[in-house]
Amino acid sequence: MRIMKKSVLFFGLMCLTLFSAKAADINPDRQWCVPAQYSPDEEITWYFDFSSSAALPDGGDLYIWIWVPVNPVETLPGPDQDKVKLTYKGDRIWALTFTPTEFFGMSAADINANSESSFYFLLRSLSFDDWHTGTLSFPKADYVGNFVRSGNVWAYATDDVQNNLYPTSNLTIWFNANLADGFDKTSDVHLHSGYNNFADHIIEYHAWETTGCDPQSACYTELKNLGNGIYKKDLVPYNYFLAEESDPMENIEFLFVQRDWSANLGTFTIRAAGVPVPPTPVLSIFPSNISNSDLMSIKRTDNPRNSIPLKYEITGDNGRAISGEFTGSLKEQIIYIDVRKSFGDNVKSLRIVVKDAADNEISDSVKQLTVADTLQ
Amino acid sequence: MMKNKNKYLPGWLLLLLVTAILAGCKPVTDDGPYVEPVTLYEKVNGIWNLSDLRQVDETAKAAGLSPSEVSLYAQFTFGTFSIDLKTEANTPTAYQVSGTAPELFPNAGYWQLDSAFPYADGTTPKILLYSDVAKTVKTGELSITSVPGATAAMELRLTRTSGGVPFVSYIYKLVR
Repeated sequence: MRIMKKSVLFFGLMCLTLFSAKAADINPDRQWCVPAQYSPDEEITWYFDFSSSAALPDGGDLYIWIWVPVNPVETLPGPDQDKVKLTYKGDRIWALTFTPTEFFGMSAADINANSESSFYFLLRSLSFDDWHTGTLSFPKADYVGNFVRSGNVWAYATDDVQNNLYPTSNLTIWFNANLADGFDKTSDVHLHSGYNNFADHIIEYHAWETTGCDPQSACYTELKNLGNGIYKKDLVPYNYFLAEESDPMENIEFLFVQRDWSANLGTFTIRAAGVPVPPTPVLSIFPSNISNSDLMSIKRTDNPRNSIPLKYEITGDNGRAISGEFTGSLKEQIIYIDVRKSFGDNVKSLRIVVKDAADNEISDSVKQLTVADTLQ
Repeated sequence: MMKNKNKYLPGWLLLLLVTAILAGCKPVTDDGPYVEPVTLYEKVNGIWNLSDLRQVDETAKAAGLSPSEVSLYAQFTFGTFSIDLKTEANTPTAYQVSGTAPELFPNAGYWQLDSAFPYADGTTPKILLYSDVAKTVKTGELSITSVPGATAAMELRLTRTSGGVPFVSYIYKLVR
């Protein structure tokens, strides 16, 4: 009798163990959010890559069970279960597309106000016992508010935790028209942009192409207007710039352009991951002090690609002026000036304007000339 | 006593005689005709061609900033620069710059040195430039920072000052 009791206990324990083993733990190898940053009233998609979770069959059903900020369903299985079901995208990637405000039935302010800094959830089979993940999370932040409070006219974020940019990254670019001179915060704003300092894969803002939304159109380049002068653009570089994933991308450069080029701001650069920070260009005049009978050189080092030849316009206070192009390489652009020959004997100061090859102003300054001692 | 005195007299006479003979042995030196001493004019005069021109930012140099010096030789046709410092009978007369390089000091005029001889204390001799033949109106000063010696090379330095403080110099490296 005693032995039998033990056997029952043992058998029971074994069943329990088997039962537990049946509810297989799965965990995503990778998860990301598109867009990288968003307003809670925008549609977003969470992606989960389960490449190495053998317990989850290809295309197997997955449901989200979320408790922060709130759970939109009371039970699983339940009448609203389809609302929390993920879509199988192929290649062992599952996705959930939703608009946070609608999904949680909360206002954007309430979602942002929630004290947790993450969404906490798990993914599971309908029965829970077939497969389920441990606790997962996505960061939750008031991205719009953070950007506005930063006081920056623009900012960017990628889906990478270190904010690295790859051709395949999900990139969000923010723009605050309130801080940009000449921008009207009710107008539409477009991105005029390209790869590698506008050397490759240029996507121009074609103000006149008002039909359709192909890459040639104004629509394609338009930023989303979130109201109050805040705009954003979500894109994946290789898609947006019609490039291959393998195409070399050192950086993307862009200008923010108001409708019909009525205002623009830029050029801004986002460097790709692994591309070293280029040295900052330095504009200098040699020597430090110059009289009107001296020779001077104006030099700019470490110029970005596509910026040269630089151009200069120099005007003396006596009205005489010269203009032209610098010579040299990206490493060093230089011009030499014989002050007396170019401006005469009576010049006292020089206004020096330097522009890049695309006529963007680099510098506008006035150089006071030194008065040399007369010989005794 | 008297006898004793006479006994020494011939000795005194002998000594006198020997001294006289020895004095008469001093040779007569032949210095030749008189010549002028060697002056700096002999080393400096003539035609010099430019081999380098360096511009010095004296303000940056004083502050220890870099760069404080650049070469302008490849610019402004400085390769065409030459200067003729003329003399007549070792007396400086006119000078003439030829070429199309910028005129940092007047291209033509009259010159002289502030000292015909090198200074004993090592002070840099100067070429003084004048616009008039009487040498009353000074138009420039070129320090001879390297005096021609065994090699026919000279270095002249033109420095501009403001309130007495140098702010730019040009160093002319010259060869025959």
